[in-house]
This record gives sequence, structure tokens and C-alpha cells, in this order.
Amino acid sequence: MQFVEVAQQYGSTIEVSNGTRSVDAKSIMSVMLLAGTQGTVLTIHADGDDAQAAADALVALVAGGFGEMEDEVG
Amino acid sequence: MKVKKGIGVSPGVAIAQAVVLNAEEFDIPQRHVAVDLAQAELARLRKATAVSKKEIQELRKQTAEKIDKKTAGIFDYHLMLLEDKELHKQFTAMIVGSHAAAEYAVATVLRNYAKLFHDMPQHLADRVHDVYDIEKRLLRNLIGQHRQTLAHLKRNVVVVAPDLSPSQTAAMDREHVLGIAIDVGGQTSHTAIVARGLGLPAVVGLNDLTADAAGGDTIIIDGTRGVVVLNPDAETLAHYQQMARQQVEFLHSLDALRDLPATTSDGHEVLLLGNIEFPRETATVLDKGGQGIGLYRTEFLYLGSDTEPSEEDHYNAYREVLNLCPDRSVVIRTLDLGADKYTQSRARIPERNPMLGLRSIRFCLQHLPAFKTQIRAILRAAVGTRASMMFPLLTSLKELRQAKAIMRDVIEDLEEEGVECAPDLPVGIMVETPSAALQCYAFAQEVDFFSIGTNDLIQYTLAVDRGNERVASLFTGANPAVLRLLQEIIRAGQRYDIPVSMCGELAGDPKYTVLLLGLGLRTFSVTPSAIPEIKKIIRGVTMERALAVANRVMKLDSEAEINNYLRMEMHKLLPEAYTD
Repeated sequence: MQFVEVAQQYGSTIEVSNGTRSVDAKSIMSVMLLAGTQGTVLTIHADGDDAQAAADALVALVAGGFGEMEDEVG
Repeated sequence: MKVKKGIGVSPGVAIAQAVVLNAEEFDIPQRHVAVDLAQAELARLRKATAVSKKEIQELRKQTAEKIDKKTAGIFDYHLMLLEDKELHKQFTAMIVGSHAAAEYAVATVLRNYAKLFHDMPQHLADRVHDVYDIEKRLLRNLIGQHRQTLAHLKRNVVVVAPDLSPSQTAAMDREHVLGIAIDVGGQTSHTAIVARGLGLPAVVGLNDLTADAAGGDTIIIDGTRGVVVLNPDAETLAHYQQMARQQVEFLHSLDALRDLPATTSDGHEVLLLGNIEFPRETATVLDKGGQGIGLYRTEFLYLGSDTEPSEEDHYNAYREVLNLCPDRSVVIRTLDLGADKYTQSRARIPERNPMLGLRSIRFCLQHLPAFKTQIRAILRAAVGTRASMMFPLLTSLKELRQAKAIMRDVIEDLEEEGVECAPDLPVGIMVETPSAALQCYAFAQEVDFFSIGTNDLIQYTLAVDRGNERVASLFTGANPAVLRLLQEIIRAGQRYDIPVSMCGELAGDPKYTVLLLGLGLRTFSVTPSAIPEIKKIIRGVTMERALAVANRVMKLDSEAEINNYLRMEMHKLLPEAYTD
């Protein structure tokens, strides 16, 4: 929930992917369903003016809770 | 088309549109709107979303003030759900793309999410409740005050619900409800008993049917096979429509038997009685041609209200039935509560294994004031009638002697007070535990009659909970051990010359009628809707044939063989009956 709240603070388009599916990081429904299993490697893809800041903030946030993270800024 | 398997608890076929109830009993009035109304539907949805948002914000404010900020956080989460972009994208897609009504879009999309969450790990599965909460809120704001209950329906429906409470089933519009399908429950659940009493096809134990079904879906309930078909294809629909027509014709053909006696074709008389749960069912029993009430359950007095019934509540309920049966047999069973979820949910500490816990006579013997109140009312109501009293779930003679001692105390009290009562009313027991069955010769010497309760007898003999779908198929009366017990109970009754009736479900299952006659059973007490069918079988068979069937069955050693043989015999006598 915090993840989505943080994502919503940024203007960039942010997508989060588990390797097979990519969803809007600002949609709580989508993120919850994606994050269903622990140990999944999530990739964050942000696109826009504040993309780097958004990606950094999100990675910092979930590093503890969701396990390994990779980030990728486009 | 989607086919779902559950537990068939009341036979027959019903085909109608679904009314899907959630806890607040919303029914989606219509599924689709005209093409040019899509924008209007979107506007309605926007408005409902805005109102819902205000409500949640208000709730959050109140919660923060009254409780604390942390607890109020749940409403932040609800707000996020409510405004979720992806959610609204899907609502819009359904409304614009499929001409869905806003309510239908909301229910469909959110139920789909609920289903996805349902299959997730526990911490996410619990989110289902939040999704349902949002759904309810949006629907309430879309449908407004047009909340529909089951009391006043305008069209024929099949009711789909997570569960039905006794008050919901009691208030049901019998004209328009054709069938019932619920997510939870087993053969002995309240809904199952009510559905059988009303003769409504019903399937329970469907798990997540309410997530799959939407209001207005065409739905087939096949209560005989325990199957529900959602939005059937043309071929399936035609097949079931044909079956439903045959069922109606068959039931009409049975009407002719109403006033004829339940006598075998070679002249052996059988007493055919009805089981009732509510006083008003008495009329149905008599209307179906039942000769009296073989089981009057009294739990409704407790389940319908939050306070314990008074002696007058008891008395009035018994008189209501006895007034309709002034010269007929009426067997009143004392309170059989304990293992049901109503008692359990109210218990301070729920029992770990309620079926083996403080239930029925055990409960009564530990709650003497309530037990005495009931016995007083029965003794008073029985004056000038053919009423009798029956204790359930005995496992030892000690319990019987205790119960009878309490009854003597009550009689003494009444006589001292000069209150008119029926001190000599017959007292019997339900034989429904293996221990009572194995001690039946001893019990027979201390009671006036036996009534065999097959549901519990089978459950305890075979150690099967038929509400548990993983083992439900093991629950069968066709097990040789069960049949052996039945045979012994009937023999004990013959030896000591006391009447033996059967009020369990086996008595109302046409497959077993001939066998039970052959084993010596002469009193059948069945759910009202089954009376005509059982009568037809009794009238069509000779005692000689029944004895031969019983002899044959008692030599078989497998459930499958017994089942097949009984089914074959039944089809000879009742070729029209639709069975699995």
C-alpha cells in the first residue's frame, strides 16, 4: 500500500514487473496481485521527468519487504 | 457456460435467473443497458464513486477521533481501492465495450478481483473483505434504496448466496424462489433442511459460486446430482428444461395419491408421517397426505431470536401444531442444539469438535432450567392429544434415566401447582448413535418408542462428516454396518413390542423404501415434499418382495453392490423418478 502511495507521488509513468507481467505501479489492485508471492524478483520501470527519483524511492522502500529488486530507468 | 459441483441437498431441477445476495442482500436489477446509455451509466458510476469517497472520508475522520489514527488507516486503503485507476479502466471497458449496467460492471469486476485474492497467500486473501466492502458501498450508492430482499420478488429466481440465515429463509417469497445455491454448508445445514421441507432443489458447498455468479445470470440447479450450471449453452439448457418438465408432470401424477392410504399392494399398513421444522409446515404435511408429524424439531424456537424462549413460547408453538392434528400422532423432539454454528458462534469458547461435544441431550442435561421449561410446555400442550416426547442423541441408559427423572420432577411440580398436564404421554428416544443402537434391547425396555435418526447414525458409525466435501462421498446408508444396526434396532422394537419409526433422511429416500419395509420398518417420517413419492413406492410393492429385497441386500458386502441393487429395484417401482 505504501508502495503505491509513494508511486502516486511521482509524475512519471511507473510500471512494475515480475518478469512475466507488467502492471501500473500506481494501481493498488494490480500491485497487490503481482506481489502475491514472496521471493519474486520485481523490476521497476519508470518513464518521465522524475523517473530516477521515483525508482530510487521505490527500491529503497521495498528492499526490505519484497526481497531482491532490480531497477531500470528508461 | 460454467459447471460447478457441490453437494445436492434437495433433489430436483430449477432453472431461473439468479439473485445473488451478499451479506447486505443486494440484487443487481439488470445486467445490460442500451448502447446509447453508456455515458449515462459512466456518470452514475462517477457519482456513486464520489458519494462513496465522501462516506469513507467521513468514516476515517470519525474513526481517527473515536479510536485512533492507525485504525483509521484502513479507510485510506479503501479510498485507494475506490479510486484505483486499473479498476475504473475495467469498469469503463465493461460499460462502454459490453453495454454493462454500472452495477453489473462493479459486481463483475470486483468479484473477479475477490476471486483472484481468494487464491493468494493468506495475508492477501484477507483483502477479499475489503474488496467486498467496496463493492457493497458502490452498489448501495448505485442501487440506492431499491435494496431487494427475498420477501417480495417480481419474477422467478434462483437464490445464490454465501449462506442463508434462518431469518432469510423464513422470509423467502415461496411463490418466486425456485431453487437455492449456497457457498457453504452440508446435508444437515439449516438451508438444506428448509429446502427439502419446501421441496426446492438446492445445492450447497459450492465454495465460491457467489464470486462467479452475477445477478441476472441464467442458472440451473440440479439438486439431485449436486450440480449448478451458470449461463448454460443451448443444448444443456434444453436438456434440463426437458428434465424440469418431466419433474412437474411426475409431481402432478403423485397428487392423485394424496387421499389414498400408505398400504402395500398386498395390504400391509404403513404409517407415513412428516418431519417439520416450523409449525406452519404442518399444513404442508397434511396437504401432501401425511398422517401426522413424526418429528417436530424445536430448535427454531431458539434460533429465531436472541432471547431464550419462554414456557408460553414453547406451549404456543406446540399447540399450533397440535390444534391442526387433534387426533394424529405428533412427536415433539426436545432441544437438539449444540453442534450447529449458531450455538457455536455464541459459545464463549467454541468447541474444537462440536459433533462430539456438548450437544443435544447432553446440552439439556447441563442446562436444566431451559430443559425443564421445554418439558413443562410439552406436558401441558399434550393434554387431550396424541402428542409424544422424544429425547435425541442418547448414548447411555444413564442419560435416559436422568431425563426421565427430570420429567418426573416436572410432572410433580405441575401437579402440585394444579396445572393440567399429560403425565402419561409416550416417551421415546432417537436412536442415532452406534452406542444406542448396540444397546437397543436395553433401551427398548425403558421407552415407549424408537425413532431412528439416520443422519447422525451414519455420521457416527462411518466417522464421516458429510459437510466436508473431501469425504462426503463416503457418507451412505448403503454401508453394511449401518444396515446391520438398522436391522437390530427394528428387531429390538419388535421383540419388546414398541413402535419403531425412522425420521432420518434415509426414510425419505425412495431408494431405501422397499429395503426398510423388508427390514420390518412400519413407520416412515419424511420431509413433507417426499411424502407422495414414498407413498407411491409403498403402494406399488408387496411385503413378500420387500422381504426378498432385504434378504438379498443383507447378504451383500459392498456399498457399490447395495447401491446398484437398490437403485435398480427403485426404478422398477418408480421409473419416472429422476435420480443420479
